[in-house]
Amino acid sequence: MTASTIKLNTSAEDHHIARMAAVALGLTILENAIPSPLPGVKPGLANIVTLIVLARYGWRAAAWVSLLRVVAGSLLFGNFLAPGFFLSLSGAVLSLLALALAQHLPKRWFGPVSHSIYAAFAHITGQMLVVYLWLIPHAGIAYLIPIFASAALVFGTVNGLIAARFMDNESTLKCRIQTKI
Amino acid sequence: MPAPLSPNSLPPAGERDAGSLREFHVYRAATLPHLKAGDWLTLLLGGLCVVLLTLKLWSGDLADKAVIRSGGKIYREVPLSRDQQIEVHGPLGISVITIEKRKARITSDPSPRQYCVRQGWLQQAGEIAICLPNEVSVELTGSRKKYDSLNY
Repeated sequence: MTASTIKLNTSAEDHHIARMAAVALGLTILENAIPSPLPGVKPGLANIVTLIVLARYGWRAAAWVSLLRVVAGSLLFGNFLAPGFFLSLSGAVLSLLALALAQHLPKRWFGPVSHSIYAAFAHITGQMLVVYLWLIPHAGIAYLIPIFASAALVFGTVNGLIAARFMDNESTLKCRIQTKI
Repeated sequence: MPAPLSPNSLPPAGERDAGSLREFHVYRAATLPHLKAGDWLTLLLGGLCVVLLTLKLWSGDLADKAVIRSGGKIYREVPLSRDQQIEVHGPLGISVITIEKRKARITSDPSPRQYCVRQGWLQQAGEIAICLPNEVSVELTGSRKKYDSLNY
């Protein structure tokens, strides 16, 4: 039997997306180690990577990174195609849709913090829709919406600030290098 | 592809030589995370959204009315916000319905088996107590139509 190799032609961009998705995956695993006060309330640290990729490489790359992270993450945690996976997926898809709109906000006034907050709200919207339409079709879950919305606001802001800070550090570094030259 | 430089982190061209000012800009860029005007607006909108959602969803939206039926017809619809006792006349006698602390129950009823009385307090929208012999029922409703069981 001859060994056959499948050669995939990958571009530099593919490699970059894969690297970024790996970073996001690392943050997801890190986040899973943090105990949560309430099931479902998570900081969503991996979204920091999505925000940075969005700002630097555009929406398409951000969508790849985000969706790869969801699928690979579910494989790692063993809940691929389980309810948890669909919760992540619906959240990620709605976040990406929100980001697709939010990225057209004027850059002069709106930064990653705005993107992050809109994405976070879209994220819980997606999750609550899946919960209500599929998992728990009971109006009682409406009680939980204020908790999730507050969490979205807080963590959305924090993630946005981290992303903004990170990108600032980078441009500051560049600024230093430029001024030294 | 170079990272887009944010305008705040790079001092204006005229000030590049002014070392201390540049240091200040660098320091500011490194320590102060940038919240632009629009970001504050977004934060404000988000906060408003959370407050409105909380007010809307945590103000007893889930069960806010008791529908009392007698003989199959709606006898009265009363809000749960006011504590009161209501007497309903049926074919066997008087059923007494008590509303207290946003809950409702049938306090007394002439039915032989007392099922509806023993059911106790009703709290959630969709809950219902029926006194069949006396043809009296109390149903709690919210602003939306509820499922009365889980279904797919």
